[in-house]
Amino acid sequence: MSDLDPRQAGFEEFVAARRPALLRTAYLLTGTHADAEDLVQATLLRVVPRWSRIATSPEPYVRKVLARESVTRWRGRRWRERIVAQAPDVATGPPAGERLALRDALARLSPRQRAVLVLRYYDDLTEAATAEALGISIGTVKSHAREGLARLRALAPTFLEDATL
Amino acid sequence: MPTLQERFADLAEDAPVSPTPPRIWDEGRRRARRRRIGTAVVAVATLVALATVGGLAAHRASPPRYAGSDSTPALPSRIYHPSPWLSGWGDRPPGQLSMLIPGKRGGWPHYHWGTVGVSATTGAYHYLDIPGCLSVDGLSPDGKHVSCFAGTVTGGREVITGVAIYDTVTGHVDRWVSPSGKLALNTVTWNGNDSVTLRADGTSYLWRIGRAAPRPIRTHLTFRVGTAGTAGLYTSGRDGFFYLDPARHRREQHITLRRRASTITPASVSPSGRRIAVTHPTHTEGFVPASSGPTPNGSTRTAASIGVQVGDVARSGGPVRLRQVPADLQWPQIVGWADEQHLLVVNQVSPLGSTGAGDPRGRYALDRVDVVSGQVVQVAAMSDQQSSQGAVFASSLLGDPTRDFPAPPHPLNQRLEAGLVVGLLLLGGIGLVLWRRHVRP
Repeated sequence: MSDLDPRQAGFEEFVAARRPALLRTAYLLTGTHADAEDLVQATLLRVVPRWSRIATSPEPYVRKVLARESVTRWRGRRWRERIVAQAPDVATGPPAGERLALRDALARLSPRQRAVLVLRYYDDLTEAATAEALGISIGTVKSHAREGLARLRALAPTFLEDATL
Repeated sequence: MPTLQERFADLAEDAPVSPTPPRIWDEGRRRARRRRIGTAVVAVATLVALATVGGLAAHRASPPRYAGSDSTPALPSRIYHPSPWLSGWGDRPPGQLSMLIPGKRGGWPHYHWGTVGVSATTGAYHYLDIPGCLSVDGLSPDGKHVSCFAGTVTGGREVITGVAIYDTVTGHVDRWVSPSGKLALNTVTWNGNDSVTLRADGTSYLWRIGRAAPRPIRTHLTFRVGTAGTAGLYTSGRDGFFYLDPARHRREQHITLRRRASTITPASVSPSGRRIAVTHPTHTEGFVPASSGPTPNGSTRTAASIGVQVGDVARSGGPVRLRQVPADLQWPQIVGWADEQHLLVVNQVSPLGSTGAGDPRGRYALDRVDVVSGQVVQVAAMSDQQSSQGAVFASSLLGDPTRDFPAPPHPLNQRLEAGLVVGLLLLGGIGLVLWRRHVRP
């Protein structure tokens, strides 16, 4: 380690400490292990060239890249919101089933709605910080959060009806 | 009661747990470097392409090395088709001109007709931009003044109301507006180097350069059909012509042809007034122009061709007897006399053997014809029909030797140039976006 560039050392230290947390956020954003690992890997690769500028406080920038990359990648897969004639099956069952229901419900949101909900209610960012991370206005964050929650409740009513914000 | 955050945290527990991939730092730097290099390559390639277009445009628009403007005035030995994108003379006076060439001038919304003035001393080609002039009409015999029609443009429609004289040496413009705005266009002509004759409101006028307005004259100016030395030649009855003696403007000189001749204009009287040349239709067996065909009674017409006839004007004023000039000419158009024995004509010289008038494949030349022997000598090559048909020459230079001048520039079509620049910028931008997306980590 003594031969490492100090910037590289700082970066690798950050990765070692924060990668698990980033993977958890990425998993909520993508819904699969492989996509979550890809997303974090791509985020870290994109962060490297800017590391010297963000080394003192890398977390906000890394979150921003992660969130935007997830939206961009999802769009790149030609994500389409499906219009269904009937409401989806209500999720019921044991805790593992509840997780799957939440994961599936999240997967049915638009990428930006999903990113807003994850940043606001999992990473606990403020509306302003969420808006900054996604490059959108605070009003848009509010509307995405409102619509995303309503949709989430419609998709998994039993599971979320007792959840508080 | 679990909160939404707790629900999300619970789901996040399913997140993968895997070892950190090795060499992220090195890979990130490598990709960033590759991205930067690719971006630089695309940007430089775009700049090089833009510079190439700019350089090509500048090269094609750059004027050749002209001789000094103090050299002896002469007609050019080669007459070029003017580029629509030639620049104008602008505010600077062009100096003595050898000829005027009509040209389709390019503009952003559309093309329009303009007139190129060719410098008699340098051979430079530029469009004439004469303030207040709607269209250029004629060139004084010495090439130092240009007459043009003045008027207004209302709602895109041009209304000619008078005449203007532009001094090509000083840039000064004299304008005269007809009181009623009615001008007989085909009567405006140069009468020597210092005056113009014209008819307006039913009255004939003579306008001396430098005077504020033309003065009425008694002569009734009819249709201008050619030149008489440095003056205009007008029709007189069925079989004759007349002109005003340039030295004594009010004196009319009449020329009557011996019998009613089917002449075709333009006609020309030699500088001494002793000889007249006319063009006339002839018949050539076996050739049928594209425009002709069977006559109503079913017979095939023989083709019309054009020949040149000359006649000597008797001092007594008797009718002139015309005789055929024994020269092999194709659709000649009389320009004027070089001297008493040599006539200048625009002659069609088609290497393909075509003799049809206005043959777009045909080449043209300004030829000097010996009216006695019929010998034809090329004086100047012409690039095409456009530059030959409407060209106006400084008649005082017709007898002088021509000179080799450099070819005028042929600027790139400005629309094409702008399109190329925009297209290259777009291509470069798209290339940059695609590349940066391609190498995105």
